[in-house]
Amino acid sequence: MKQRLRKYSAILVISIKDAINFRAELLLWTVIDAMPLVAILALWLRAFESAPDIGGFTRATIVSYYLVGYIFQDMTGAHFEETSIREIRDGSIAKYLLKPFSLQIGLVVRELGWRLMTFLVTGIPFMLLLVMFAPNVLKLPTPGQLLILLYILVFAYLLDCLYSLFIVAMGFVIEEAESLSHLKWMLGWLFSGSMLPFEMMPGWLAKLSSVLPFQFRYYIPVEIYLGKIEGFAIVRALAMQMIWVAVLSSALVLIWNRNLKRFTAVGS
Amino acid sequence: MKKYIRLYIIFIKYSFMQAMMYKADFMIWSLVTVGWIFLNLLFYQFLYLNVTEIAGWTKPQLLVLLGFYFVIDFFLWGVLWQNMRKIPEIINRGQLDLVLTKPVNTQFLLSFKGIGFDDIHGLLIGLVTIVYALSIGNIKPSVADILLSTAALGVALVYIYAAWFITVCAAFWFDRIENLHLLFPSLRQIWRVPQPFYKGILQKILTFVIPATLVTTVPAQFLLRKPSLPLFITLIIFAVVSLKLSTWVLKVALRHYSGASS
Repeated sequence: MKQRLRKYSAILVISIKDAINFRAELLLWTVIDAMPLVAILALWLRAFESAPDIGGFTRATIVSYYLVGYIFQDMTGAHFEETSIREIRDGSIAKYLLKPFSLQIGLVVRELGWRLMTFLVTGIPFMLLLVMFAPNVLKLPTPGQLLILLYILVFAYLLDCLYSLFIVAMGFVIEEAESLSHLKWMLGWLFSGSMLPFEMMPGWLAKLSSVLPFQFRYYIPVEIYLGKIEGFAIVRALAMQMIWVAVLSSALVLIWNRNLKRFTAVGS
Repeated sequence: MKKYIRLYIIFIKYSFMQAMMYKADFMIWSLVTVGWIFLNLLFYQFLYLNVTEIAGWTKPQLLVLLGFYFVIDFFLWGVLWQNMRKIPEIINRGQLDLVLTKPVNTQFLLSFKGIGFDDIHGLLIGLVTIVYALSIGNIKPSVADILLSTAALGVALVYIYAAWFITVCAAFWFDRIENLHLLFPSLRQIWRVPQPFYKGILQKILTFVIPATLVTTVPAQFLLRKPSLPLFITLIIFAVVSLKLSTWVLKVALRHYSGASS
């Protein structure tokens, strides 16, 4: 166990060093990720000029909804699938498969370094600025909320890694697995609550979204932060998240092992 | 000029042959394009279930703008993407010599060699969206409106091309930023929303510093019969200046370039 921990912490340290090394890239991604936020906030602020309440949201709560959602999404995203698929295609992934650690865990840990740096470099300064200059938009969560949020976000990150690992697993058998990344982003946008809060969706879509796992990266943590989900509803959400993690992890093991057997590479 | 038109037709034929060679690729990426378009349409559909209008823009009016957004998306991903993506790579790997030694304008060859056909659906759906939105909104633009709108779209495309080219040219100086080519197209999220939606200093920045909001708003406004001449003139000025600047930037950048031959 200790040896395992040492191996993965070494990967984590390397990826943090990588992230520091490519800090300009990190900043560039933050700017790119912030563009939709700017547009959506402009749109909602204008929409609330003619209606004080839309779908149970006020002007202030909708701004908090998207700002906090942006931070949570930035902290919990996994983006390793495209690089891994390229490595599968050119065969260079073989060098990782021969190393004495699990490739899947390695990828999750490697991405974690980048997420931690993103949070440190952009998330924390962004939140501090908001708390200082717009306290009515972003308030500090209570210690209880913070604990629950931390728990949910860690598993939300794990879920996003699982989707990415599914795509990597498909990369072993299909040529254009990169396109599946778009499927992941599309499903995420539609069902996570980042397109619209569930309260503003048509009933059928809100119902469907509330049973799928995408909500744990956006809607659920943001609603907990806003105090709209409380008590037993939180316990139910946590339980559902655990079930999704268990189901998707088991499915991944099956698919990964089956597809890996069909992978061949020469050289590298 | 004739030579370049002939050359571009050859590029189109070659890219089409390439697309047809990998039919599965073409199909999958076509589905991705259509999927994103569908989701964007769905977003505005759902949004207008909750509101009747935003800043004076009704659903059909916003759909006209969205139609232009799809058309511009085709230009971004179909016409420019393959080329802009490769420019930093070509520079960093020292492969620019191959382009520089050809008896063709370097900027033209770098900018227009590859065409992505799987994005063509964006162009078609964009045009259909515009026509559909005009009909449901009972908006009847005159021939002059249509011509002016097309001209404004052309100017917007020139601005987009030139501004994107300038940003990727930064790779001549900053070789460590791998995804530099993604910076400019990320602005498309900004022009998915009409210019009047942005307020205050942000509106001024997105109109007179980086005129991202104008590229869809100005062509849409002509069709919606509420044109803004000052905005159109601003867009024209930016397009002309950016185009001139893009040529100048490449010229200066090439003086910094050194490659050990490829």
